[in-house]
Parts: sequence; structure tokens; C-alpha cells
Amino acid sequence: MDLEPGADARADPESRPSIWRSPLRGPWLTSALGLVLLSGLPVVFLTGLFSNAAYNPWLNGNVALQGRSRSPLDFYLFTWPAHPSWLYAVNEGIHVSLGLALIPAIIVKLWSVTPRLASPPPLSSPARALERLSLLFLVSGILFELVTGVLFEEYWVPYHFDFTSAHYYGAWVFFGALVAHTVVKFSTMRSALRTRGSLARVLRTDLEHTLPEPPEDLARAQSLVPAAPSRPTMSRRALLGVTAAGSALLGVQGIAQSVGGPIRALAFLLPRGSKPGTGPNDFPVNGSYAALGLPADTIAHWKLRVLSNDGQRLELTRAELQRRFELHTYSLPLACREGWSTTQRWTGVRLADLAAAVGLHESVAVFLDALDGGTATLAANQVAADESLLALNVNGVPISLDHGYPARVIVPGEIAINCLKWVSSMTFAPVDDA
Amino acid sequence: MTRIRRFYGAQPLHLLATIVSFAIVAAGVAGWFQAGSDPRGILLWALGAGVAFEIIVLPLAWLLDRIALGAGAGVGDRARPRLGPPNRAYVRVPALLSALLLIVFAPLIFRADTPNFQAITGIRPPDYLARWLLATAAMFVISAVLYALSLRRNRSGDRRPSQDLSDPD
Repeated sequence: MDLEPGADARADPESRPSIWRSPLRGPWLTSALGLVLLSGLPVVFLTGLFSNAAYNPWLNGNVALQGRSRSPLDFYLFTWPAHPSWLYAVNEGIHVSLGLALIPAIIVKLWSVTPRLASPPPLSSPARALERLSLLFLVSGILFELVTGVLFEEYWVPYHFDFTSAHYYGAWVFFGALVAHTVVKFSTMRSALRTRGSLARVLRTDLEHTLPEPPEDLARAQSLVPAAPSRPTMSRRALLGVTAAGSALLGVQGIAQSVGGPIRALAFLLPRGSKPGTGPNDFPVNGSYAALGLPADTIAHWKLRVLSNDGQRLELTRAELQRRFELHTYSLPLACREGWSTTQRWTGVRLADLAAAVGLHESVAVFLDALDGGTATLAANQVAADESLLALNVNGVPISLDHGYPARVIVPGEIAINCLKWVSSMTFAPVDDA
Repeated sequence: MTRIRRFYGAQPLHLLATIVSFAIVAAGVAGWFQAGSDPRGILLWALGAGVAFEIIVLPLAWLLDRIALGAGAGVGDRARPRLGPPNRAYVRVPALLSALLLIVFAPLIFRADTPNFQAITGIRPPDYLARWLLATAAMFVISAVLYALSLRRNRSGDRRPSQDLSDPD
């Protein structure tokens, strides 16, 4: 029997009463949850790094991490690819959905180690003191990431810092602490899972047969197994079950807003579970036109400026764009860093054709300006992709003001924030290193 | 080597991992300062999140769970005094899940920033409070149905008290 109580677990007559009495706490439970988090959180971390890479942050005007100076953590491994077109949608869907789904496991994991976190810091050796300090980074790091991420999803900004850089460097703080925690605790986790029980056994054990774990070979203050456990009011499988149910509840919200279509409504507690309506332009909006507060005649006077770095210049109205250029139609996802996406049929002018119109043909990047003051640079591989459009229509009708009328950019595989709406000028320039 | 180990209190690998780890952590914290976007506010939030979790969220969760537990203990107590702890789960599980949704989605449920929501999405926020209440109600209804089914199963089982239910609390 793996989860048998130890002989002295409950019989210690000297045991002082402690407020930590849950008989479920112990190395097995903590290790099982630790394994879940060790499998899941690195995926959230990596998809987060990829999400940062999707900005192509090394290009002028892209909003990620516009710090005053460069941190050694601002490294980018590759230019973000333009194919497959669902690349960013899937990456960010995983980042947000998995992040949400792990919240219950994080809460229960922290609950399981509360007696240790609440005990006075062990200063018996430098190793223990440093380990404790590292736990501060670990716990604060994960909670900071979790809180900022969730608040960002819900459009509540009660802080004054920039979300993107705070969340990015916060991820490194957590990851750094996780490295030490994993190295220090991995063997403890493995042996607890091997010697203290199997998942199958825990899943077979009902409340009546739920017993405290055997005591650890540790000082009282360091022990997870309570010296004087109370009677269980819940089996371990019930605790794991309710944690899993919570994960499913939250994870489904994230998956539904990412997959969209018929299951979008399942994200009933996230802003992107709601659609504005049922028309061809009624897919989720990020940044409404009304909120820009632009002068009323802005759109009437709109002309797109297409420039080349060597002085070529065109000014085109919407009608001229439709007349002069071949229009192409592609189904492409619009994928937000908030983890939601929506696939629509976009019609517009190829970016490569616009570059050619100002005399540039190969390895061309483009710098975009928009009426709302937004800027972005698209890399040469993105300009060259056939599906990269300056979109004029969506689903057969002109795109709405909220979606960027008179013209917006849509690029396959790219983060929506770089697909500017209300584009006012496009400056093409050859790149040598492409 | 042994002296290092004795002084440090762990394997050299522990020290190595700690050094690497702290270097990454320091780079992350430095990144906050280099980005120059209210780094003190960030530190306050990061430390505050840890402290708030320990002294507010966990005790609150414990308290709510005790309340749910008490309510669960009351389920059927008058009618069937022998009903034991397993039946508490029928109250406790939906209560815990409802509390989870409340904590995670509190900014929407309590309309923390409706103007910002509207400016970003272009739509008026749905009534998330009503949605959360409905979800809570749905979970309790499902739980009640499961409870009723379990009672029927036990009754049809020859009125023989099952192992789970034979244990008075």
C-alpha cells in the first residue's frame, strides 16, 4: 500500500496543534501537480516567446518591447514565417487556453505546499536560504504572469506599466526560478511519484479509504504531511477531479474563442465569446473606430500613399486601388495576441503588387502608418506571400469602419496587431539581409 | 569539495542551478527596468500577488470551502441522518467551480472597466454577472440531478446501505 499512513503520522503525542491538517497534503499530491505544471508551463512559456517573435520585434515600429535599452533577453531566433496561415492563431490559442487551464492546478499546487511556504524561512544553510529566495521568485513570478495575463484578457488595466514588456520579462523571472526549482526538486518529484503511489491507485481510492501519506524524512516545519491530520472530507481523486473540471471550464473558454465559429459561444465568460451580430462584418473587433475620435471628414479625404525608399510616390483612392490592381480573395485568420481568432474571406490588393507599383520587386519590406497613429513593419517574406493583402472587402462587402475601412492589411500567419487597420501610408524598401 | 558541500549545505549542482537561475531572474528584473515602464509598479504587483495569494485568496478559499462543507453536511441530514461525507461533494464541487469562475472572471463579472471594454470591442459588454450566476445554477442543477440519481440507485439497491453511505459523520 503506497499511501498508507506512517505509524507515527497520527500518533505523535508531542505534536503541537497545527492549522495545516488536511490529510490530502503530501509529497505525492504535490509531485503529481508539479508534474502537470512541469509539462504545461514550459509550453505556455515557449508559445509566449513565439508570440513575441511574431511581432518581428527587430523591425522598426513594431510595438513589442519598445524599451529604451536592449536587454540580453531581447533575442529573436528567427523571422516569423508567413506560412502556414494559422500559425499565430494556433500558437496564441495554445498560450492562452493552456495558461487558463493551468490556473486550477497552480492554485491547488500552491495550496498543497502552503505549510512549507508559511513556515519560517530555513536559514540553516546557504543552500536552504537561497532555495527559499528562489521560491519567492517562483511564486511571485507565476502569479504575476497569471494575474497580468488574465486582466489583459478582460480589458481591465488597474496598473500603470506596459503589459507586453511586463508580461514578457515576468515570464523570464518565472522561468529562471523554474530552472532552479526543477533541478532541485526533480528527483524528489520522481521518487515521490514512484514510491508513494500511482495515479491508478489514487483514482480507485474512495473517501473512506483515503489515508494521509506516510510522513517524510524531514523536520516538522518542512513536512507537507500534517503531524495531526484531520479526517478527510474529500478523496484525493475528488480533489484531482475538481481540479481537472476547473481546468476544463477555463480551458474551454480559451479554446472556444480561438477556434471560433460554431463553438465561439462556449467562451461565455470571455469578451470574444460574443459576436457583434450576424452580418458579413460582424466578427470580433479589436479597437473600434468610434474610440479613435477622428474628425468626421477623415475617411472622405482618405487617400493611400504608397512610397518607395528612393522617392517613388503614388496616391490612390479606394476606387483607384480597385481599378488599377488585380484583386485577390483568400480565407485567412485574424489572430489576436489575446488568444482569439476569426477566419474570414478577405479581398484586396497583394502587397507585392503595391511594391511593384513603386518599382520594387524582390526582398522588399514595408513600413505601415495608420490613421490611428499605429505603425508596423512587415518583413520581406510577409510582403512576398501571395495571401498578404491590403484588404478592401471582407466576405464580399466593403470592410466596416471598425475593421479598418477604407483599407487594412492582412498577412497570413501574422499577429493581428501588425495587420494595421485604417492604413494611410505604405513605405516599401528593399532589404539586403533577406 | 566536501568542505564546500558542508558549508553550502547541498550538492554543487544545487549551487550551479541556483546561480544560473538567479542570473535569468536578474535579467528578467533588469528587463523590467530597461523597458522603463513603471518598474516599481511591476515589482509591487509581483510581490503583492504572492502576498495577496497567501494571506487573502487561500484563507478565503478555505473559509468558503468550510461553508460549502457545512452546507453539504446539511444535505439530507434531516431526512436521512445516515448520509455521510460523500454527499457533501454534491454541494462542494459546484461551489468550488463557481468560486473559481468568480475569481478568474471577476473584472468582467463586476464590470471593472465598461468604457474600455466598449472602446476595444465596439460592443456593449454582455451581462457577465448573469452568465456567471447561470453557470453556477447550471452546475448546481447538474449536481442535484447526479445526487438524485445516486439516491435512486441506492434505494433500488435492495435498501442495503452502500459502503459509501454507511459511515455516519
